[in-house]
Amino acid sequence: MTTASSTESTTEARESASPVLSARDLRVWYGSTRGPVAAVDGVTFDVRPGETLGLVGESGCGKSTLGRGVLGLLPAGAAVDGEVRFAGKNLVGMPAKELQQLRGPELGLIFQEPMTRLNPLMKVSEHFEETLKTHHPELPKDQIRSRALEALRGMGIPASRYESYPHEFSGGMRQRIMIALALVLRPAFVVADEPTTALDVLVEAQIIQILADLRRNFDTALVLITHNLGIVAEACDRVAVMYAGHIVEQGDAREVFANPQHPYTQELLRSTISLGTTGLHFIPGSPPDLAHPPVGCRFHPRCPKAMRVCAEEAPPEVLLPSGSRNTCWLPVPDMTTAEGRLPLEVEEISVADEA
Amino acid sequence: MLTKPDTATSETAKDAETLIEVADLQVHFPLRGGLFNRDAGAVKAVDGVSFSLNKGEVLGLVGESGSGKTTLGRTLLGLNRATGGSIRYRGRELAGLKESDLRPLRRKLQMVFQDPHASLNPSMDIATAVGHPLQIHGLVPDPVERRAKVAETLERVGLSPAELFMDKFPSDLSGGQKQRAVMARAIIAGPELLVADEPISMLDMSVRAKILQLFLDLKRDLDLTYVYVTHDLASAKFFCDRIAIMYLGRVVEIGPTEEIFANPRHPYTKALLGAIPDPEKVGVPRDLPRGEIPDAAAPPLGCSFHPRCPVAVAGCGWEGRDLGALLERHWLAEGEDVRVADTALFGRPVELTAPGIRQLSLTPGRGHEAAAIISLLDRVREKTAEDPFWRGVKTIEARDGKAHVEFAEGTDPRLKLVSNTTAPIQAACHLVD
Repeated sequence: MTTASSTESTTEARESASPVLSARDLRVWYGSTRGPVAAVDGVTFDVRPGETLGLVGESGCGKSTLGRGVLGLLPAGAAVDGEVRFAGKNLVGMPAKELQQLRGPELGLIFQEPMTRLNPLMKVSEHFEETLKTHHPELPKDQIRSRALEALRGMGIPASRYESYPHEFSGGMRQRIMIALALVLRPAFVVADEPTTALDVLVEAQIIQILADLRRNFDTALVLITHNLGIVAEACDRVAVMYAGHIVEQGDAREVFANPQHPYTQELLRSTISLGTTGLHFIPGSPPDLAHPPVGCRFHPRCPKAMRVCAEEAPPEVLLPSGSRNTCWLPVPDMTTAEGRLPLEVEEISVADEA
Repeated sequence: MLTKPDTATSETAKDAETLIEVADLQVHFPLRGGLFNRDAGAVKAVDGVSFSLNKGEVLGLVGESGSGKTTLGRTLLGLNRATGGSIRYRGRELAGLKESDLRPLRRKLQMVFQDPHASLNPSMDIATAVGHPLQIHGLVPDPVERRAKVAETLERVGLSPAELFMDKFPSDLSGGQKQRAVMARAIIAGPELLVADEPISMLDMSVRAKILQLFLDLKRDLDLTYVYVTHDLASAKFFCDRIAIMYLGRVVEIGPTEEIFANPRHPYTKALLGAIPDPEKVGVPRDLPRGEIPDAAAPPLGCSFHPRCPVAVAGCGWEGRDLGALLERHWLAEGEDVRVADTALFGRPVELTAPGIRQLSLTPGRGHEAAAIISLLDRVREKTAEDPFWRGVKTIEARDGKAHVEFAEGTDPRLKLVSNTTAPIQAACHLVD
């Protein structure tokens, strides 16, 4: 257990360390019959060693696409633009072969559904042998075994289960195996895409604890994609809130949850049913069609604080005194006209217009 | 902001009308296996559950996957067969009723399933799907009248204007809209009881509150009674009047929602409450119970929760498998070399994995003596002295060249009344005896 003072000093060290991975103005488009869909539209963030960045938002906000896009794991037909800097190289536009070399030993991915991501015909041992042999062909057999067992031990999977098949494990154990498999090569950067969604409360809490230990013990930089705000509050250092392909607010997780600045973050937090919920609140409407996003701020049709300027011009990203980055017209009165700050008359949204 | 309507909670349980009375309900699924497909025991999905449900009440069935909550909910409507016990609906016995006798009752007992995408026929338009119960029960034979009734019901669940949705197919609707259509279908025949199995867990978080609000509105307008099956304690806390916490086919604690949350009695309830991630609490360290819900085909001796329970005592039902699990945990902490050395001491320790063995006799491996196993157990005990497991160990001794371990006799805690100050609260735990 770390004491408060040492936690503080490591946080400082983390902030001064240079980022493991930096995304700059990252864009991802998909082709569709309705025209190009900008699933991720100009996203910028950094992840430092040992830091966990939580990526939250509603379904369809682009958070999973962003996670895959960073690792170059997009389906054919997706276009990527911008920059993802990792170890001095730009991953965007890197030849597929070179990128594949990085995936595994440098860049890891933990999937949502451990049930479907492990090969049912392969023993746990074979999964590890395959992974380790691909990236370290020189490793002798006994070393492969000992490294695999070590990784599994870290996840609480006993060595006696090494020769078992995936179906012999529970969902929680399969997710631990998946995490061990992603970590056995000690990647510096890992994306975890909804790692606990399919799991029960208690098992979910166990996995979150494992992820928290991970950044403490291995200095792994982690991007945790989730729609569960409670998990972000618990397991993340920083949080980025996504809406319709944009990051609308990002900053220290405690700060963002205690003092959400962007109206979307505020609404999202209010509409989440938590133990403190005494009344139901919800955001009217549904996220926009990304083939034809609204002009101006993408949240303005649903925003309770929308002003006239919000429907006309996209808001700038501003650095707030708290250190959070916020993409909204509200905190920048000097950049707008008095008329622009008049409340926007919004159309009535029907109850059933929802995701 | 819409607040929770103050309904059934204000009534006292005694004045309220009992709608459903469940007594010692059992749902066992037989297992087939082994040679000649013979009977190989049973999965006790629901194993002796009793509770009553008042009209206008919202009862939460809360537990993890494998706790039997879904099976229990389905059995209330006769979607699973009860293998024992009784379910009385307004005094009428449902358990063992023939499908043909049950069918007319389904008008009054409806279900909303978890996955709205899977509960609508993809090739049936919304008007037909929602009007189906009317057709099946022969309530509104005239197609024009039926369509009008469907339109009215769609408006009621917020799918408005109804004309916009009637001729659409499920694939044209969003998740939340589909769940609204499913609810329209559930209420159209005028039910009294709605069993809702995780109705919001597949929906996006911003839609969950809307659907939950719809449940509350419908309850108020149509005088419904709900059984809300969920693993999500936060929504259960908001939505339910009473909560039954389930674990491995049993109700381990049942009482008014406020009491369950403010003063949980059962260690499992405490564990569940402690595990809820909460955006209002940042980075709180938690004590989680180890492991996962055990196999219902071979449940632990005594209290099913004892292998994971942080406060288990001698009489909770310790057995050989618990020693096996303890050794596994010890080896996880000590590493592979220790494990290899230690496992060599045992011959073939089937007794460490087989269920229900209270007196173990461990045969030493080739070239080893029983005393070596005893000293291994002593070493492990030193390192894990805090583990509740050791409270259940009665004797460890070397006899006849074998190491013998005997556990204290355990009993299965039954659900009993632990408090009745404001409303009855029952828990099944030796610690509340």
